[in-house]
Amino acid sequence: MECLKYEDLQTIYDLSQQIERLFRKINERLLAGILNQYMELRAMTISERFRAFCNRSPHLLQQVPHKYIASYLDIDATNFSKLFNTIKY
Amino acid sequence: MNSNPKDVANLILFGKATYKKMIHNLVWATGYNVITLPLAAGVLYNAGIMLRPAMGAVLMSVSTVVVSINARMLNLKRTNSNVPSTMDRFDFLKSFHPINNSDYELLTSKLRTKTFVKGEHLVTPGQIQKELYFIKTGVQSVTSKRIQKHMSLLLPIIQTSALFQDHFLHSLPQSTSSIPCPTVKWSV
Repeated sequence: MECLKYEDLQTIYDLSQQIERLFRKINERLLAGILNQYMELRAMTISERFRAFCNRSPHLLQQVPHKYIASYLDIDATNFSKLFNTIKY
Repeated sequence: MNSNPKDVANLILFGKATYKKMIHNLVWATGYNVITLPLAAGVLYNAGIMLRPAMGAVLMSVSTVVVSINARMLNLKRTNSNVPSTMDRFDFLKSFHPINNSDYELLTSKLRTKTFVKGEHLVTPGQIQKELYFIKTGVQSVTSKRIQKHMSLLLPIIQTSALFQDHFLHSLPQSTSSIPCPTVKWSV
């Protein structure tokens, strides 16, 4: 894996305003995503969460092992399997 | 193969790597046999070098082992492909904000390579994550001591196959709080 040290990134921010802006936008998107997920976990039922996930990122159903998606959506593995089987391709 | 068109390019690269490995193995096996067969036949008998049959059998086995190890290296190469390509990463970053080549080079000049095995912990309790990771695919999860299970936090798998770590943990996990000490890891 490739990584960037926190201190190096701070130095780069000082050197380039464009990179600082880039990461500001990334962090905005990230914060919005986290808040969205938080809201889904607090306010939606499991079927609503599953449906929202399928609408937002259907490709992940093929790319990520289902146990991780179930954990991400805070859905029990058995219930996730039932919900997954309701999808019609 | 999935429905991603980039899989075709990956398949071509994989085919090329396999062919290259095949040539490697052919050269290795030929070179090995060219040296050891005459040796086993006693070409250097006059020079006082005589290969015992038992040693011959061992060398024969070594030939197979060398070819097998070389073939396994192909697998290693494939598992290391979790680093996004330069173009993937550039395209991914530009999808957030247009940066020019010099800014991109400035950013990537500080990149370091770290090796992790599957499921290895990136941050252990009591540590602060002080690195930003670029990977292609992965699931970020937290191990909770309280409920004894892994919880997936983020599934940062982007359709463009360039990947991005999501956040720095700026604060130390509090061992005295009711929140379990998080152990952030990437399952790659």
